[in-house]
Amino acid sequence: MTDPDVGWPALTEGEVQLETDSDELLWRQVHPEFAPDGVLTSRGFRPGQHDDGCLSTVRSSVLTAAAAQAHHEAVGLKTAGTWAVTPAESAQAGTRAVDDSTSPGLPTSAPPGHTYLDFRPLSKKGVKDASVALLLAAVARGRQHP
Amino acid sequence: MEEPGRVFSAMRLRGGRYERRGFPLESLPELARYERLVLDVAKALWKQGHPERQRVPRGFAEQLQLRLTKVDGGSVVPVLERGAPPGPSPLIDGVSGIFEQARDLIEDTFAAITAGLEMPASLPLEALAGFVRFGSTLRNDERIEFRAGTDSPILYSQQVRRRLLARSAVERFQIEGLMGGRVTSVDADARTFVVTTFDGRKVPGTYVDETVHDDLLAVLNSQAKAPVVRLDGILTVNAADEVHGIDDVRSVELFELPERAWGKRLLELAHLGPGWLEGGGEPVAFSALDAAREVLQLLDDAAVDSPAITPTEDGGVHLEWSDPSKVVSAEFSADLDISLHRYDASGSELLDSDDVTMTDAVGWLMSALRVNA
Repeated sequence: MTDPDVGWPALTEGEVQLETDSDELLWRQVHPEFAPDGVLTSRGFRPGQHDDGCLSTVRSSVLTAAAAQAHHEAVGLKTAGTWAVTPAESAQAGTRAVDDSTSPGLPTSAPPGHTYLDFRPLSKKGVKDASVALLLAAVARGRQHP
Repeated sequence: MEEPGRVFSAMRLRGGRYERRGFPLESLPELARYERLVLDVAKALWKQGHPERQRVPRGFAEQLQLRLTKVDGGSVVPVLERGAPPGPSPLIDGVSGIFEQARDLIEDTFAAITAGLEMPASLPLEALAGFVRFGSTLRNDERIEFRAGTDSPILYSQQVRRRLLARSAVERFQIEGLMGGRVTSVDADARTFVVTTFDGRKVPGTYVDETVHDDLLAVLNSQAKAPVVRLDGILTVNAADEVHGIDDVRSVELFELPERAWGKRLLELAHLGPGWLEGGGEPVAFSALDAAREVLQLLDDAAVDSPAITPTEDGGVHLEWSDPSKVVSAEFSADLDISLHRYDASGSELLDSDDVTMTDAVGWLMSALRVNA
């Protein structure tokens, strides 16, 4: 569960933490190498070396799963499909969901409704635990697109 | 005192990592690729002007000598100067101004691609490989601006690079790289061989080095059933990354695998080149593949189901067994560091100290997966 005392970095201009009581889904595109033969792995929910501890997702209130995937592919990125977690599941996993879609620092290629799951304060074990918890939630829900 | 050089390129790097102070060291190879691109185009232009010559004159490359002399602020502006070549400058026919001509042609090509126009007719096709290499580390929010500060700057990004790749899909390029497959024949006299790829295509190869010859023969004579190798050489590829030939092979790494689904997956990982993860991602190290193979073989013998197998961004291998309530994973880094992780309703455990051995890993996995050894 998200720990309020975990030492989250301060939110910056244009960033809003999502409430955990919403039913909204957060779409996650997973690189095909992290879902071999369509089997989702925790690697698909772990920030990479260049993500600075922030895992990209997109809000379902802004884009459909199909539109989020289409945007991802339109900017030339690969995906094995669209999976989803809720802000509550993010919190349960120990991360927080932050909408940064109006942040001035967001690249222009980012999709509308861009949100990130914040892993920054987590330890190495915390990152692995969180990515697995997110994986289990996403797998239980099933692939959302296609 | 050394003479100051002449500024060669007005280039500006923007977005992403380049909006912070300083020049990210991980981007230095991009500047080296730029120099290589200029050199490749210049060589091709010189050969166009000297069709009777197979090679450029000795000392041609030394005439370029690009140096990063400072980094100006305002995004990142690497100042590339052309220094004087070391020693007395040899007289080389047709070299004067050819690097500047190559630079201008490169920029014209980027401008044409960006604008959706035909590539310049004077662009030598053999230089296309250099264009493909350049910019491979750019992230999607980053771009390189040429002719910065002029009325008509050119913005080069991954999107533009992909357009270049798509346009040149019918062409084949030569790039340095790795390929995996099975060596099916070797002709010692001609110093050629054939390697069969994982999708069954036969790819011709050549080598010069005598040690490579011995290594290839050793593979061919290996007792292992259909041993797999990873070859390091000059690949002839198309834009879809299909390998059509490999020349000047420098090294041969043997990788023995059983005919199992997980063996095929490890082979796929062996085939991943640098940049497999949207421009990032190291090639998977054979050391990590070997470690994963050893563990998988032992678990296979114990009738453990095969895991999902993925590469890691830094060239390692990740094995993951999951069901709706439990996930167990093992990671093997290129340096053979082992990291073991278990997560279930009772809690989680991470074992990744430096002294975790392969034996420890197998025992731990057997226990975590509830296997009776």
